[in-house]
Amino acid sequence: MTEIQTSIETLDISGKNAKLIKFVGQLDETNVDEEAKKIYQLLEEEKDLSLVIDLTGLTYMNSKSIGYLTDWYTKINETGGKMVITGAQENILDVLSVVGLTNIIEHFSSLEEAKNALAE
Amino acid sequence: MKKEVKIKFPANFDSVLGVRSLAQELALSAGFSDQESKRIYAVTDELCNNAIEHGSLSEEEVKVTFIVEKGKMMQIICEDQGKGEEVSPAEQMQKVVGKKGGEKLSIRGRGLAKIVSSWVDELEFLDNEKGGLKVVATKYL
Repeated sequence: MTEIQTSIETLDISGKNAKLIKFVGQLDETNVDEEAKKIYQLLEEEKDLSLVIDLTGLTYMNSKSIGYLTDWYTKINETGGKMVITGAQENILDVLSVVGLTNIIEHFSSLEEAKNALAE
Repeated sequence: MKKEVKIKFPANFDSVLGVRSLAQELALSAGFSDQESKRIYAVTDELCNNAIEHGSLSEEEVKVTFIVEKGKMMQIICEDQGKGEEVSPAEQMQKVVGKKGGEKLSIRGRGLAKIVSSWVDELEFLDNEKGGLKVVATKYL
């Protein structure tokens, strides 16, 4: 299995139920389904959730992981929450751009900017 | 002068990391930029994943051939044995790639239709005589 670390922590944003999801490593066919389960579990357990997905440490993501990202975004939006991404490396932005996801999900260079976007 | 590298590996996803890393190294050696070599990394991953998921039973072999001409081009040829679930012949694959943006695509379809077809200059699907699909992706410098 390709190395990946997924962490979930609570974000301190006034009036919001917000979490920070960090992926460090690579998301590919060997690990993406298992890691995605953690996020789906979170979506089930938390109400009115907003998410910042921190991709600073992610060096590769395949098409399936992009599909999951899209699905989480849809689910979060449907429950009135907000999902943004931050820190994506050049090659990650490249693939998100080619599938059109950068037109849908907001990306911020810094975690601070991402948190501010959630606070709005 | 063209250099050819042939790999056969068991049809499981654990094998693909090494194959895509090799693809990236070969791309850099051919003279592709850092960005292009990372795109070739992704293209190789998507092609191999498709061969494993749709074209091969567990532990059958997938064959990948890299053809590199320094300063000119790189070709990735990915062949499966066509015995997996949801075997997709060449004509069907061509239709998947030909779908316009906005049409609903499976996650696998998204990988091939958007990522691979956008990042290579030529993409060809061929039916192997003995069964299976052969995908030829070419990128020019």
